[in-house]
Parts: sequence; structure tokens; C-alpha cells
Amino acid sequence: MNKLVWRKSVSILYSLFRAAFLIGIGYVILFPLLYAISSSLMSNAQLQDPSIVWLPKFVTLQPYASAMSYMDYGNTIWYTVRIMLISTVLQMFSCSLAGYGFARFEFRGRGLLFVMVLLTVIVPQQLLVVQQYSAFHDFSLWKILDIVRLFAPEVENLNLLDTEFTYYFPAALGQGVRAGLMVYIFRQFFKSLPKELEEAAYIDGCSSFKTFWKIVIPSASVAFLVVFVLSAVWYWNENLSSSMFFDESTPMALALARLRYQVAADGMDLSSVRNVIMAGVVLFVTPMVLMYAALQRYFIQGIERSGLVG
Amino acid sequence: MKVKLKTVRLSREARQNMNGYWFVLPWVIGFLTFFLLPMLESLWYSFSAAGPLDEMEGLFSYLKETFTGIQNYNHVWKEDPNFTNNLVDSLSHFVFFLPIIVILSLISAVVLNQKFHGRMLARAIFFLPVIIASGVVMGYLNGDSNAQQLLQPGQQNEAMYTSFSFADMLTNLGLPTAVTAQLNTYIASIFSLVWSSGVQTILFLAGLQSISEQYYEVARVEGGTAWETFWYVTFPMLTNVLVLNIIYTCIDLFTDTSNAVMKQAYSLIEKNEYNTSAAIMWSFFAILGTILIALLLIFRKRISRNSFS
Repeated sequence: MNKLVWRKSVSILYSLFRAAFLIGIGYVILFPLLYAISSSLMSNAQLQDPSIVWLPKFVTLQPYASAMSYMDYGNTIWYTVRIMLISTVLQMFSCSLAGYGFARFEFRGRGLLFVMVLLTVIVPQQLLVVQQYSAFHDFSLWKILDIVRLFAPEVENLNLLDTEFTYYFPAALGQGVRAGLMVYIFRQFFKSLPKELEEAAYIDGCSSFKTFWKIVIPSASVAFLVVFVLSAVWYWNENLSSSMFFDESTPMALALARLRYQVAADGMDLSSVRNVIMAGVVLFVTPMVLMYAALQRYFIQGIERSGLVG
Repeated sequence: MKVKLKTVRLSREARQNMNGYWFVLPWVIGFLTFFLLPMLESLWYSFSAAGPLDEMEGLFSYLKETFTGIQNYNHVWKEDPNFTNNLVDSLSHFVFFLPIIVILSLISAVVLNQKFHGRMLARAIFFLPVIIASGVVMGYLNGDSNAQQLLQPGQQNEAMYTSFSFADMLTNLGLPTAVTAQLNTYIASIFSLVWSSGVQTILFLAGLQSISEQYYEVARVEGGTAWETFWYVTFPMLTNVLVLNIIYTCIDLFTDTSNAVMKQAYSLIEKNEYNTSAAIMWSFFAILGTILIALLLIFRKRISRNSFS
């Protein structure tokens, strides 16, 4: 009898603890977002009013209009979506190729190369951006253009800065944002696939690449989805390289980062334009949240099923 | 006389394996161009006075001219007090946050793995930080901008607790001041802690899902309590993910842009002082590398081979 009472009360206590935990953490997560949304709907006067903390007395969309005009929202969103999609597709392609190579083929130096893959995850971008900047400034397409210049002297090296190709070239070659992680994900996933299908393909005379293209990729839709979501989000949020490599054309993250300076340049005191900045934040965050909301279930199932971990 | 003819004929399998080189070729090209080369250049900068847009007359004379040995490192470690101060800040921040993040994400994953009403919603909310946490956004939300502050530092956190003063409550409990001070630091950083644990929670959750039901059945049959089940079944199966999370958190904490050392390095870049900046970054990452190697050595017996081999 005693034990039953004990068990029951422990389980009730646990439910309370769990509820408190979830509510607490949920609060910490949602608080800044709700705060941002609420600030973004207030007029300047309401911001200053100390009696208004959460709910604005009346809702205004003026901050959004300001933020959108500063960030040139229409063009920026189109530009960023384009960069993000193309880079993500390129990255999915190059990382899945590499992942498959590491998973199914045993060639000399495989171990060392994979350690290099992990190295690219560990070494941070800050160490590399400056040199990448100068490389992009004077890009000779791996000396190809140098050779071409022998025949046509007017050909100059490419200056890729401020173009989307600063993202496309690395992405196509497996060096996109957190590409090492993607290669790891693909490798783990391909390793977990049963070999029978591929062996059947070989017996039927398919080359390795054809097998990869026709058999392996269709079975890996889960891994591709996970990589797509992660990659898309990280490209959208990419802050360091977007501020380093872009100037005139602005990806979304850069536009948001600049918002602060644009607002200051217009002579407005920063503490009184929180609403515009927060509107900018909401505008920035919403597309990704929508995309995530749409794909969430598949994404989580994908993580669970892909055998990523252990 | 017998002549031995050696013909090199690769077996079908070996030829097959050679195809692997083709698959990883794009990655290798990218690695050399966009990673290895910049990295070596950066290493060079840290030992020289070179700049990225220098005119190079000839490779060797350029190398000879600009080489300055460990002068940059000397400057950074011995002469400039900023780096050592920032380093202490960053490392103490790291030591505090690492265990808390790992434990917090483990608890979150365990809770999110259970069945309760509104589980889907809870998961969606918990993963929001992963989607949203871009440097720009975090800077604005946290009031931690470089040049100007939208909100005063810490105001964000204070605003959360206006109705209720945790600090007062703790002091009233009569705990020694060292403990309350420590707890206060943790509480004030709750925002940053929770928002940095998104990925780790996902990883733990995936790890939990991969534990086969059979183990739990055995535990139930043997009459284990929930507590025992956790420590004897769940936790040991999570060793791989645990190590992965620890390593990931280390890297995350070191490369976070709001890190004092990285801020200093970055501000030097903006002033065009690439060499000192490179020296700072390489020193910092040498420390990170040592920590990672130490971690791998400590845990090498526990990592099951299939993750990394």
C-alpha cells in the first residue's frame, strides 16, 4: 500500500515537474519573440510610454513599412531565396556525392580525407574569410583564365565579390555552409542502407555513378530533406560571409544587419526605434519559420529515422 | 630459368573502390581551394606582416620579406592585455556553459521523447532557436550589438523577472554568497543557454529514438524503476551522442561571434590588422584543438566505432 502511494505521488510530482520545465523553457524561448512582435506593432510614442509593456494600445504597421523600405524587402527576399535555393541544391549534390564515396568505397586515404571533412566542421569561418575574400577578388578559375589570357590578353580575372557566385562555387564543391556536417550526415545515412539494391544494380551492369543516381538517391529522400532544411536555414541566416562578400547586392542577413546603421543614419535615436528594428527581425525570421512549420514533421521524422547518431 | 611475370591486375572490387576517388573529387577540389589554401595563408599571416592584397613580386622574396616570426604572437600574448583578459573571459564562460548546455539538452530531449499532450507543439517550440538563431537576430534580441545597444545588457533578462526577484529569494535562503553569486550568473544567462542548446537537443532526441524497445522491456521485466532504467539503460546507450554533443558544444562556444576573443579578432580585421588578428585566432584555436584532442582521448574507449570509422 505504501509503495503504491509512493509511486503514484512520484508520478504526479514528475508530471508537475515536466509541465513546469516545459513551460519555463518555452517561456525563455518565446519571450524574446513575443517581445519583438509586440514592439514591432507599436508606434514610436507607445514605445516610450512606460505604462505599455506588452500590449500596444493600438496596433500600427508603420514600423513594418519603414523596415521594408530600408531593407528593400521585395528585392532582398527574392535575391536571398534564389541564392539559398541554388546553393542548397548545389550543396546537396556535392555533399551526397562525397558522402556516398566515403560510405561505400574503400580507397586509400579515405580515413585521412574523412578526418579532413571533420576538420572543416571544427575550424571556424572567421579564420578563413579574409583569405577567401582576396581569393574571390581575383579569381582565375584555377589558373584556367591565366591560360586563356595567353591567347586573349584582354581577359581579366574574375572578381566574384558582391555576386552570388561567392556562394555557388564553394557549395558546388562541397564547401558550402557547414558542408562537412552534411557530408557526415550523408555518409551515416548511406552506410545504413542495405547493399542489396546497389549490388543488384551492379549485376545489371550499372556504373557506380548510375547506381548512385538512379538507385541510391531515390532511397535517400529522408536524408535529402534533412539536409535541405538545415542547409536552407543556415544559408538564410548566414551572417559572416554575407557581410564580408556582399556590398551592393544584399542578402537578407546583411540587410537586417545594416538596418541598425540605416536607422541611425537617419538621425533617429536608437532606443526609440526599437519597433522598426524588431519589425525587421520579424520580417527576417518569418519566412524560415513558415518553411520550418510546413516541413517540421518530415524533418523530425527524418532525424529520427536516419540513423544519424550512434 | 623461371621468369616470374608480375601482372598488375586489379580485382573487380579494387577497381570498384577506385571509383570512390571520383565521388569525393569535387569535395577535394573545394577543400583545397576554399579551405586548405585560405587556412595556410591565415597561418602565414600570423607569422608575418603580410596582407591579403599585397602585390607579390615573386613567391620566395615575398615570403622572406614579410616573415616576422613569432612577433605577432609575442605582441598578442605578452604586450597587449586585451587578449589575455578576453581569453580568461571566454574560457570561464566556456567552462560554465558547457556542462549546463549538455545537461539541459539531455533533460529536454528526455522530456520531449515522452508521450504527453501537446508534444508536437513542445517540440516545435524547442527547435525554434535552431531556425532563428542567426548572429544578426541574436544580436538584436539580446541587445548585444557591437556599436550601440538597443537594450541595456542584461535588461532583456531582467525584464523577464520583473515580477519576481530570484536573486532576493536566493539570498534570503541563507545560502553562502559564493553559491548565490554562481547561481545568479547562471540565471542571468538562461536566455543564452536555452537558445544555444537547440541542436544538442535534436541530437539527443535522435539518439534516444534509436534505443531499441527491447532494452526497455528487459528493464521492465526485471523490475527496474524509471530512475534505474535511465541510468542503466538509457544513459549508457547515449554515450556516442553525449560525446558528439560535448564536442559540438565546445566548437559552438568557441566560434560564437559574441565570444570576447572572436569579437576582438573581428574588430582587428575591420581595422585591417590582419596579422595580429590571425595570431589571436590561431592561438585561440590551438587551445580549442587541445581541448578537443583531450576529450577524444578521454572518451576513446567509449566511442563505438561505427560513428567514425
